Amino acid sequence: MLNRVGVLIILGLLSGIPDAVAQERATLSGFVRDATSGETLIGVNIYAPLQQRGTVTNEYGFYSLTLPADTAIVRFSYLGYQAQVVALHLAADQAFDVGLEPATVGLDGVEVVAERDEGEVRSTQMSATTLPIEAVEKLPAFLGEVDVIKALQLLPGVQSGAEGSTGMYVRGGGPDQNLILLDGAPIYNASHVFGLLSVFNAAALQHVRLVKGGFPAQYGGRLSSVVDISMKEGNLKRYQADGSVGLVFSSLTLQGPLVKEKASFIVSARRTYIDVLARPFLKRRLPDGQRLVSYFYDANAKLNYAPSRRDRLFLSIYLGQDAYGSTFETVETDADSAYRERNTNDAGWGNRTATLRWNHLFSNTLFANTTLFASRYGFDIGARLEQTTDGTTPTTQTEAVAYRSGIADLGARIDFDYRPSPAHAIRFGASVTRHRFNPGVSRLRLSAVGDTTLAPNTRRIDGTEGYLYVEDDMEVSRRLSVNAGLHASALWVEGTAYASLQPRLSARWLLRDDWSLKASFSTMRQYLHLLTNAGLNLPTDLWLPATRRIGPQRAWQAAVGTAYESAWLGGLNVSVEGYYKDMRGLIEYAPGESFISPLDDWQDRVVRGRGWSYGGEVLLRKTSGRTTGWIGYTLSWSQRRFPTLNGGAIFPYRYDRRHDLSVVVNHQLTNRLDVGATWVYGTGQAITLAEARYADARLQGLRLLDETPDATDLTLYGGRGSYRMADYHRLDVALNIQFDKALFARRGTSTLSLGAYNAYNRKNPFYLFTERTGNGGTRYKQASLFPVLPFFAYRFQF
Amino acid sequence: MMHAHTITIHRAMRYLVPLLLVCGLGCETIVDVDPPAHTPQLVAQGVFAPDSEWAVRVMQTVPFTAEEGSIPVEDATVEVFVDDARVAALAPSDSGTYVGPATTLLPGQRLTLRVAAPEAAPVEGTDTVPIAPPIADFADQRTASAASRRVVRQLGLTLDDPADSAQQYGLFIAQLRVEETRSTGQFKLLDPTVFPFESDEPAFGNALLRLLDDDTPTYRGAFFTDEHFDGQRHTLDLRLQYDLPNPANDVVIHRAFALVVLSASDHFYRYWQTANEQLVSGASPFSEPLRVHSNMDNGVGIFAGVQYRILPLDLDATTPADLDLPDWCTALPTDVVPTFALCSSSSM
Repeated sequence: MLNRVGVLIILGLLSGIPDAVAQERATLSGFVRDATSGETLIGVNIYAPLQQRGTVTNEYGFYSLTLPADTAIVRFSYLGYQAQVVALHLAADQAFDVGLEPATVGLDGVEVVAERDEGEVRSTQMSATTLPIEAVEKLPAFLGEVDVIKALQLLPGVQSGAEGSTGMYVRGGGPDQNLILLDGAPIYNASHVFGLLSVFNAAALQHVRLVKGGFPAQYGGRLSSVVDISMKEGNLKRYQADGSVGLVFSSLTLQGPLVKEKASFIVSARRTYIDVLARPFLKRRLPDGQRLVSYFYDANAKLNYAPSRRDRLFLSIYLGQDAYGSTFETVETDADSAYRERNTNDAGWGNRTATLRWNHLFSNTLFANTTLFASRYGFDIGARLEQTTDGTTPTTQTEAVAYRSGIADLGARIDFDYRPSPAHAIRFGASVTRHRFNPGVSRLRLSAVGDTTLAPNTRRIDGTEGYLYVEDDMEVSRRLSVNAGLHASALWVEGTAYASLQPRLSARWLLRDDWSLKASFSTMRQYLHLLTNAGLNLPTDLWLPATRRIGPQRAWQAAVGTAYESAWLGGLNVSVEGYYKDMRGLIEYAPGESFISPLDDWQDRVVRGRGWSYGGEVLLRKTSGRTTGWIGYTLSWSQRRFPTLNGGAIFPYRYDRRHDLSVVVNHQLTNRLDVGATWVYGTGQAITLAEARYADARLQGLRLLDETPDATDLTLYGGRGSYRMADYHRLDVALNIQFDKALFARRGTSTLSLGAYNAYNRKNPFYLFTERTGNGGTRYKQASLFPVLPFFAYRFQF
Repeated sequence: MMHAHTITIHRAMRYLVPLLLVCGLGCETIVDVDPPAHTPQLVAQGVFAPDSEWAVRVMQTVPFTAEEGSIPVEDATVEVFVDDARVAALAPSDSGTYVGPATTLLPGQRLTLRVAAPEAAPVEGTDTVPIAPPIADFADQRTASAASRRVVRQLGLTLDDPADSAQQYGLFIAQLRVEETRSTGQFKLLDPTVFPFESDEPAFGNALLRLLDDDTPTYRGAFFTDEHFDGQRHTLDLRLQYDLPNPANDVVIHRAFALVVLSASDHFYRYWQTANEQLVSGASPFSEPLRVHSNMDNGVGIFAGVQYRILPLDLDATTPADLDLPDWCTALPTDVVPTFALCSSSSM
């Protein structure tokens, strides 16, 4: 029914709403770039106030604005850049590229020139936020490392998982329900160091956009959010080096023109040296013969080539890997022989992506992007015991176990951006992706027996996912704009096909030029599942496809809200939204199951159910002036119901967080000095704890077998999610000092950031565990991960 | 029981996660937290079989963090209903156990247990009497090595599983033991125990160990469904190994064995499985918490109907047949007692 309604809506709206005025028109189109680096700018507002027409640049900096053939005044504005106003005589279609200058701090240290975010009120899109990387870089950073995912967690509707984790839980959804795209390639595990940091090196990023509702038809495949991250393209005008040195990480980014104004490159790499730094300290704590390995690295590279004004090619590559492990070796010798035992444990995981994109401008109103992408995520964990005896009859015995899981994608996508008239911005396109899932294979190797695959049922699964979409962002009247779209997707797997039509509808009603009401409705379908335990973002989480037995996840979400732009205090953006999301086909591990069940088919270890979430969000943002930042508050409920969990009763989702508050402030003290602070508060996690015990007397009445009554106690757990961990709150502070030149260089700029994570040393809960007391009882303990952690980071550019 | 390599992975993960989080960053802190609140609940556990004495254990749950064990409830009212007719009020015995005389029960009869105790909400559980174990045949082949005194007994139990119905079965080997001190001529009766057996039977699960040819899984009892042989005649092969006592010793242990074959209700099967799974998975920090199945409304525990047959194994030649009366022999079904020399020699 819903789908049929959606089709009717689309057909009706695409049949063409006549433009208000039939007269000679001309199209102004082109690209908007950073004037200093040549980087394209995404989401720039282009507005002709006399005609009251506007548009924004797309993901490739392209815009197209059709206006009456007359003199036009057009304003180009973008957050963090100086606006540019141009007067043009539009007699015919005209190509017009624009370079915007970054906002600067006045030399007198008083006036800060930066653009306010004007687009939110007028945009049909709701439930979306763009975070400028420059703003993210000024936030207090965990261990000094700027992290875009942690910055997104500070927005309303987005919750973090465990302490320090980069997991994202958007509007009550699970961590698998976020489509994270890096230059168009999906990233399946966005975390380093067991979730403490994300895989995204901010130095290599240009733009981050989060959509958590009112999904445009171009997006699909996940239920809860889209995080669209674009890498920098490389400076087209000059060579540039950026770097940072922190407590435990360092990074270096090089970029520059290969052919001036035509081709550029950027290469960025980052590595931890915590293993090197910790070695002297651990040496005293570890027994002789034990060595530890713990590091991660990632590398980004991108080539950008524009053979003509109408064509541009991009090649993006990302590589990242985490490696942790230990080796313990003991040797025992006597007069005749030596016995050597080597015990190795290791775990590693990583993502690799590659994207080739071709932008082509067919005309002033039709832009196309073609993408080929590959993405691979793999996880390995293993343990090996090798026992060697030297002597007259040398022997070697090996026992090794390894567990592997992963997912590999190969896909193609084409997207068209068509602006036939000022009142219509039409997007359409198609995509196909070949998934290869390896849901977890354990191998056991015993020298006496040989290799044994322990999981014959957890075979590799191939699936093909495809979609088509069309959407039209229509300006129905000066006050009303509507984005209507349809996303049709399908998955072919194991001889079964799943297909769905997903209508999308968003509307904006402009109450005043600075105040609008918005509403949206979208349906989503997800053909992937993530099996995850205990809420930790462990890399052991299994990505799994919908199969013949386990169908896809599906959801619908409705939201209403308002956006208001106030001139008070130099410019405030206020957004208030309420939402309801219904999710079906969710999976969870069956009680007692975990990823360590190597023999069983994963499909036998999961149960299915539904979930729903609802709540309200307030975002108050100040994006210009000496003091910038935001306050985000979420009041929400997120619940689940699975027939076979919690006795079939409703239970709160682990990240059902009634209150979630973030306060983010940055204040420019002088043109060289700024201070930042972040305070977060969240209701404690809902977990399941053992509440009581009772003796297991199951053989009572079968006296022949009733050998040891009361030998063991059974545990009586409380209702699922019935126990709340302590509330979470934390203050981070940072001081950023800017210098006119970089250390060891005669030019450039640099910034020294000093600060503290968890400044008032709050003992936030990470997990709870039990401990036996001396008198036979048990007590609950809370482990807290991070006390106050001072940090510094030195960033330079020349 | 946790698989060997599962333990290895488990250990690896338990080691690797703290490795970074604790050793690497070195900043984990631990504080006490309040335990979850708990209101005590009645626990009733009783398994009724036809012609066996009825026994129900009544306890109260204790907080998970408590130092003491479960608290027996001595002043409960325990009533049993068969097909909704009250047939007995069980009498208190020892330590929260309530007993009643053996009664004939028929397959399909509906049993209800109601337990009420002061200051606790009454609990009630209902179950159905299952069919008797459909034993078609039982074979016991014994080989003994005089040199090592090792006895190997190959048991074959054939079940004639009824069609069109899901059945749950249990197998246990009960060991009856007597300790003889030859120098004094004294015999001491030891508590009966469950004795382990080996089997490659797929119906018992444990596929991992069966993969490794040289390692036949060992069980201390098996509870299984007829999923693998539904509606068919099926033979379950078990192997029992033990050592005969050394006659040179002054103190020797004499053994007698019996194979106990259970036919159980679905409630009892689920209780058994979930209790076992909880004991296994409770050690894993990665497992989702598992609630043990219960059919006691307003409380916890299990009230189930079972039927069982005891198949005695022939005594070994060294087992004396003239022992004193063991008290526990009275617990044995009367059809079994004569077969056990340990009991039949008594003055019961």
